[in-house]
Amino acid sequence: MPSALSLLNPRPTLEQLECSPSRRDGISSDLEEDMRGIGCRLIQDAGILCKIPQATIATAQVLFQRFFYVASLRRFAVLDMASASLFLAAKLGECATRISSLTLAFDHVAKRLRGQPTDVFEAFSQEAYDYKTKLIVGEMQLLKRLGFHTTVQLPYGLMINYLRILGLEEREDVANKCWALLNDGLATPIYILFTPQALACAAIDLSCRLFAIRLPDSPPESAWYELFDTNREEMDIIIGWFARLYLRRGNIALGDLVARPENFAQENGDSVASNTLLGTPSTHWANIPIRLEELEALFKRQ
Amino acid sequence: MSLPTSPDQKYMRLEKLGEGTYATVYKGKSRLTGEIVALKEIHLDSEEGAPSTAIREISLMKELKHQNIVHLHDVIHTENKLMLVFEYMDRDDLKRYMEVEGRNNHGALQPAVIKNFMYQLLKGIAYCHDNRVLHRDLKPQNLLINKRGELKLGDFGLARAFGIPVNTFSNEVVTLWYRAPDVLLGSRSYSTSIDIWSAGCIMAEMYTGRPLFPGSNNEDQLLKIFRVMGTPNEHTWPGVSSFSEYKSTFPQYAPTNLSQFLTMIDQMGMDLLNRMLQYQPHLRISAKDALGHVWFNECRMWNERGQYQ
Repeated sequence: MPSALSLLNPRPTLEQLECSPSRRDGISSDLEEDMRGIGCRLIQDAGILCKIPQATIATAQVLFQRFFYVASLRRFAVLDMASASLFLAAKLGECATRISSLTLAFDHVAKRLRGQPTDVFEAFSQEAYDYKTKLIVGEMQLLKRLGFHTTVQLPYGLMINYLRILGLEEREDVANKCWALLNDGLATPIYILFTPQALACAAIDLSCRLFAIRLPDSPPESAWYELFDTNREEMDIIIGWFARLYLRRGNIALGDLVARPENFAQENGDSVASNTLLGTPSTHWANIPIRLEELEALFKRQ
Repeated sequence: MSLPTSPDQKYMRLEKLGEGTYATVYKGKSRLTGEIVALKEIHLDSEEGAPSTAIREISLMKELKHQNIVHLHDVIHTENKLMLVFEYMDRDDLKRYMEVEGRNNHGALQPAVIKNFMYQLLKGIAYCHDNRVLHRDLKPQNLLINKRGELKLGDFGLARAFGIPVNTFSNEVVTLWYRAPDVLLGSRSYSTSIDIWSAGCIMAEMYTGRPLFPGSNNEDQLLKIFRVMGTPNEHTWPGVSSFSEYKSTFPQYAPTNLSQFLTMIDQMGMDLLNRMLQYQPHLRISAKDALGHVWFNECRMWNERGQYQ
């Protein structure tokens, strides 16, 4: 029976990776990374506010990231596409959420993240109406440009299963750390570039190094991760993305730690055991454009 | 995916074939090739955006390519509607087919036809399951037949891809009459076995021309099943009492023999049906194993010969 069906995650082409549509529109790679970052952060925060399950929030972030490999940030606003991604993911995850709740949540988290007063707009105002229209248009843009390829395979379930196989199911701290890493990683391109297996392995590898847990890798030719179809190189690149993420967010200590976990393992193990690694909102969120007018204003200033 | 263009430019709309909850289906003709197609028009709601059924149907069906699954040729998007272009099936759906072909026999079909349709149905289901897709809404109305006697699965509006772990799905799936008892009892961790239950119900219906368990609501549906198969208990179905919809006050029925309702069925066919209609989901036969059942011996031979031609 032919089984070439692909409900697997689609991968971008080399061209899309080297020169994204936004890059071609004059957006620097740094700015693009920040805009993707804030979009994912908006989805994460609004998702929590709307009590949407994490798997659905994660799906939304992956859809959002995928979209900007086929469309430019100069044509589609971060805020609109972030809300449309969560709206679509909630439908796919069978936890459909009302448009009015979503728009209120996104408006609130956007204001909060950028230190603006969090006043609420009127339910029947022009603002509310415009938000809704943008959301519905955004959803159709997502579907069309992604060619209705909306399946997203996530690493969370695999990670738990792998921990069980490795005999670490009792270590709640390790599982929590892995979970937190996988959540933070959504803001990077790793979900687009790597298989769910490689993501699960990298999260486990990094967490175990932080907690100074040795994993079975006795003979080098049969390291534990090979059992899960992953190689050392992939894991190292993924871990490199984590280090970069934390350094860019101004968490120098954590960035260093992730880059060289062995040096810190014993003494600092506990200090990184918190559930969210990206705790405090950093000041630079305020300057990242999330609306098209803000982006154009930034271009004019430069 | 086509660019936004008027559907009328590519397809000519002919007569209306049917109307569903969220879509209208027309017979259509390609202006380019003259090919006859089925056009499923989905109206886009300005309040809720694209219906989730449409999103699921398109995202799965564009990937499913099998001789027993209706082929999705194209998707056309316009200002206020989505149009799905499907392969046209020039006979009826199985429900109407039974009404027409079985009109002298209360809607029942010939045993040879039933076996052939069941084989094709299970092949389509096996392909879906092999690719980790649950149909979740199998019923005679969703099985389409063409003049060559081919049967294909259609309407994937409730289908979904499953991964690990499979739980917390919606339990509002599958038309009541073909709904598995574990789903009726409130299970949300169902898997491929729910499609097998539906296939069993469809098989019985083809023999009698009448739905096997025509319940009018969730509880009535359960009671209709219990009356035939016996009220389940911890002995016949370990864990049954922990389902959210289980009631200790259910009337107690003793199991009866299914074959007394299905006098036309042969012994081997009855054996397969019993394996499909098991209370415990994990005991229900898989689609793949069902295809290997002795009842299908001649279908397999025919199938292999067909491939060598």
